[in-house]
Amino acid sequence: MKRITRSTSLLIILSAGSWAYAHTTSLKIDKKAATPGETITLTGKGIGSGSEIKIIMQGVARDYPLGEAQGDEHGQFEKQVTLSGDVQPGTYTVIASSGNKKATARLVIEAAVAQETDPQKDETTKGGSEHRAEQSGHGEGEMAGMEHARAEPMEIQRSRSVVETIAMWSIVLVSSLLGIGLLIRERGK
Amino acid sequence: MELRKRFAVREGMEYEIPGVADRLPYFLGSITLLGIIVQILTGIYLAQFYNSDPASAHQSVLYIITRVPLGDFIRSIHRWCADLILITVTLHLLWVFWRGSYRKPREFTWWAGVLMLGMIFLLYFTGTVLPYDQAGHEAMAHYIAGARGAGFFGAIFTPEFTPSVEIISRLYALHISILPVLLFALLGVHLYLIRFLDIHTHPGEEEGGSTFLKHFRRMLAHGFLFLAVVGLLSLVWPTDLGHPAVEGVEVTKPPFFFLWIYALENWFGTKALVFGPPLIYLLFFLPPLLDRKQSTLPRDRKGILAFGFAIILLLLVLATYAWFAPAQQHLM
Repeated sequence: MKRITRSTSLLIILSAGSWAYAHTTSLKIDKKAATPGETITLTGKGIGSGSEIKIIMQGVARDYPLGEAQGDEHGQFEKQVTLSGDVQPGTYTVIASSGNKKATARLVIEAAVAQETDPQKDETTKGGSEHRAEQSGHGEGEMAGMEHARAEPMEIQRSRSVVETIAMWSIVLVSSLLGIGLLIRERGK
Repeated sequence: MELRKRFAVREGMEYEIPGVADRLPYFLGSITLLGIIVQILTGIYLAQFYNSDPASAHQSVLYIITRVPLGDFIRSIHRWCADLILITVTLHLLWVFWRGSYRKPREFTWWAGVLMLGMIFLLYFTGTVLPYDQAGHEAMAHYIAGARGAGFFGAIFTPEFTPSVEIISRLYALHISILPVLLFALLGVHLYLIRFLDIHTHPGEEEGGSTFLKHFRRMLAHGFLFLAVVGLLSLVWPTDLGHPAVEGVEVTKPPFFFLWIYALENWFGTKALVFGPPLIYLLFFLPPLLDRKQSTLPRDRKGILAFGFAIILLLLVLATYAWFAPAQQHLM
């Protein structure tokens, strides 16, 4: 009786284990951190057998679609993605999903580092933008223009709901009325 | 009525104060205080969403602007209020200077005020770093250059002081805890001294004529109007955010109140960061020591007034020059 119980338990554990393994989803990225414009390789499994897998990079302020991949019969896939040049630095969650299955991985996007110059080492005593222009292949004027554009504010799509707009105007109006009302009351005394 | 009794309003607030205290310039200090309260309230809200990790700081500010309910508005209020506080606190200081109210026995009231002015400027500066956009990053790079230039005295402010915390996180700690605590401690001293040394009057101005309760109501009225102005500015011109920081690039200029330092840097390099601000700041402590005349009337204090306004004019000229001068690289 004991043997039967043990064998059955072992069978259940093994079956559950192999079922869990077969249904495990995972997503891996070859890098923990990348810069905008860099190429990363994603490998996943168990997400969608033979079906199309959607991949997005979810950030706190904005999401970036990374395209689709085709899973094999085990739901495995590998895809190389070149990140857009305008991706904002920060921590992102890359999500690969198909139907009700999905897997996630974390990716840190770092700001592109401009080549630092040391005027003392640089015999030609070129300015920063001149030197970086040579490094990047851009013209000097173009590079300086790109750098100076960084001094300008970002273009942000601001959206306000009706409730928010009402709340904001209420703060302004109520404060004005309270202020003026109190002043009139005090002056009248 | 019952609440008035329970909070001892009559005993605590209905004491006599000079009638001149109900004139508008006397509210500049209290408007500043109410502005600071607005900063605390809006700051608490923003702190729920801001992440001081360098990899996430800029993104979390973008998140506040684009996804947090009222986030853009609250952040704009925080920024506009900071700008207006710098204006009201500077005008308050100039008014006190003009009136000669720093004279004996009010020297410590003045010095506590000057220390608070320093705290407010540091709060503003640390606040500009936190979005970690290009301007914030460059401001931080200048802060680090200044700290390194100060040698032993600046060591604690450099990234090398500890590898365990990023410098932006330490500046954030300064912004939300250390500086506000110091500010409120000094504010306590400032208000205590004002209460017990009374408001300074010139000969011929009546000692009584108003009560603090009356003054307090007007103070609240001005505070509400200040909030309305800040709210309106935030609605019409929401605060911008710069591009994410890129190392090795120096293209921005500091906000207007720091432009005079930028001008000094144009001429003297990063050494100006070490000597410029402390030297100018120390000058603010001098009036009670230099001005020892009996009379506090402006006509009897022409020398000290000329000296003070020459300093202010110098700062304005430097700031104007820096405003129009092309952006320069100081740290490369």
